[in-house]
Amino acid sequence: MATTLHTKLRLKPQWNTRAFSYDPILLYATATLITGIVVFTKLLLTQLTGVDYPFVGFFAAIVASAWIGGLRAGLYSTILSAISMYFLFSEPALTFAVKSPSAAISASVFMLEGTFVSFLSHTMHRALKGLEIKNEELVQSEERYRLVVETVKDYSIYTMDKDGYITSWNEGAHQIKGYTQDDVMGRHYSMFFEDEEIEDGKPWKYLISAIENGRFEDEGWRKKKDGTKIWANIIITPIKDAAGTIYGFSAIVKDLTERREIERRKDEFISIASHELKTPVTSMKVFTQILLKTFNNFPQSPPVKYLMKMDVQLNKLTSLINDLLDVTKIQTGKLEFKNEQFNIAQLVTDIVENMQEISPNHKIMLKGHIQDMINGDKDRIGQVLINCITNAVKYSPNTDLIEVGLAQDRTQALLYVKDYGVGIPKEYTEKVFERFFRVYDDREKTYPGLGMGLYISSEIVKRHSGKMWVESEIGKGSTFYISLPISYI
Amino acid sequence: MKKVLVVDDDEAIQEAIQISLELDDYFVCTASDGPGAIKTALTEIPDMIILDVLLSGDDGRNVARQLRSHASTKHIPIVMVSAHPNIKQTVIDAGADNFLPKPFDMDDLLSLAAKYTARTK
Repeated sequence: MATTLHTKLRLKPQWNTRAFSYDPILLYATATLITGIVVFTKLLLTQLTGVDYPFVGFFAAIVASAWIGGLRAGLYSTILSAISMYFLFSEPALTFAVKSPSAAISASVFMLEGTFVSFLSHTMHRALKGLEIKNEELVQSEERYRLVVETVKDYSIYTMDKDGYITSWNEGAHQIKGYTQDDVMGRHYSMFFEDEEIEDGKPWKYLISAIENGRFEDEGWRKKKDGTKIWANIIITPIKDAAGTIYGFSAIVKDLTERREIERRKDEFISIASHELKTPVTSMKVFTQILLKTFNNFPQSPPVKYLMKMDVQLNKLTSLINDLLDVTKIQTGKLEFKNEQFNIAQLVTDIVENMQEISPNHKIMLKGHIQDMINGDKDRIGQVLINCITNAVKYSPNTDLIEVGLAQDRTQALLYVKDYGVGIPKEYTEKVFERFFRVYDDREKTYPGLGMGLYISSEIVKRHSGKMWVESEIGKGSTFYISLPISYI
Repeated sequence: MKKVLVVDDDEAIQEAIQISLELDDYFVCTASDGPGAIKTALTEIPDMIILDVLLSGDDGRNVARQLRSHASTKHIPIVMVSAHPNIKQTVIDAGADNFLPKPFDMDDLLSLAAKYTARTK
């Protein structure tokens, strides 16, 4: 297959951009022959008719020589013609002796004209040849692209006219969708869509979006010829002519069915695993609390302290499991949100109080106020704030101040959590919100965690039509900002 | 002494809740599946039921619905527990009075037990 493709795609040897590359001796011989034929014909003509046409025929010889052999052959033919003309056809004939002034002038004018004709003929030939080469290159280039597109098997690539009717269909499209070229040519590409999507006008909306945005990308179930369905990624791009007018579209489709199934199984696995992990944690937690009660009369005894530590660790384990579950739910679009109006200032105050209790080594200061209410899921927004404060504590092991601030303008409520800890390198200030991203400092010192908290937080904020970002300086600390739209209902 | 029925298919959880409740002076009876839960509820008529959502081969929410349909059990407060944290609304719809996500703080369950058993005095 690789060899065939290589052979198919291999270009013919590059054309020599000089129009003429023949042997010079051959060129001069050709010029001599052509001129000789003309001289002979002229001699014959003069003998037969008895009339002398001094220049007739020679220009044809010069044009032919320059056309075939280039400028030099043309000039050579001009000189040869002039000599023949002077020697054979100027009176007295058959001598190079000085003849009449008119004969000398005629020969000179002929030489000038001959030079001009040679140049013209040569230039015209070269221009024509150049055009031919360009055309040939264009044909080859088109052929190469056609072969690339036609032989690709992993992507379905087809083109449509400006109304969405299919105009070309590659092997990948045949393999992925099952339709042959004959099945689909001239048919509308909406044939791959579900009935309800057609009713909704989706195929046409896609094309309009591709025109408006320069491209369109989507994923969805698409129909195959045998009636089964594939989960496909489609990218539609408008095709424009030189003047920029759209005359059609290209569609590149990738079959992602298998990958989707693997992702689904992975998400299902995490969901089940999280659930299964919680069962032993539940009994461990209750047993720990039973033991704590047993030691109720000795609150300062070491077993009580150890059991309390165990309880804290079990809570951490629980929150890790919950984060894993949340990540899976975000990925599958199943993270549920309540939509209620709530007092964000009160929520922040309560959380700061709770966090202060469990973070005795840090002083958490609350600044500012938000008067207005917020619409959304109070518990989820609380989860975001708890995550930010937990991070602030975790990443400022050597400083003890954390500021939680509230501010608002007419439309937005702003929350921020500021620490004076290790900070985040500039190149990571956007990446920290990506799933499973972890910051390593230059001493390869790592901090515990799985890189899920900020991803979950930013997704929660996004779902509330808000924004989350960070400003940070290495060694000086980080400030995480959350802005949320104020509710006016 | 108030009587609490604990329904959970995980033995360790069942035992832990039982011990915890007994330390708080409750009388505890247990069940591990749906039919067992209904049978015990009908014979014991407890003051409160702690019911797991995901029982082996059974959905605790169906058990809650059945308990609500029996004349002798429909008044008994039901607190449902589950490792799925965000299904409170579905258990309330099934007839439960309250919901606690697993793993829960036993103190939270004990205060719910105090609240609901006091109600049935």
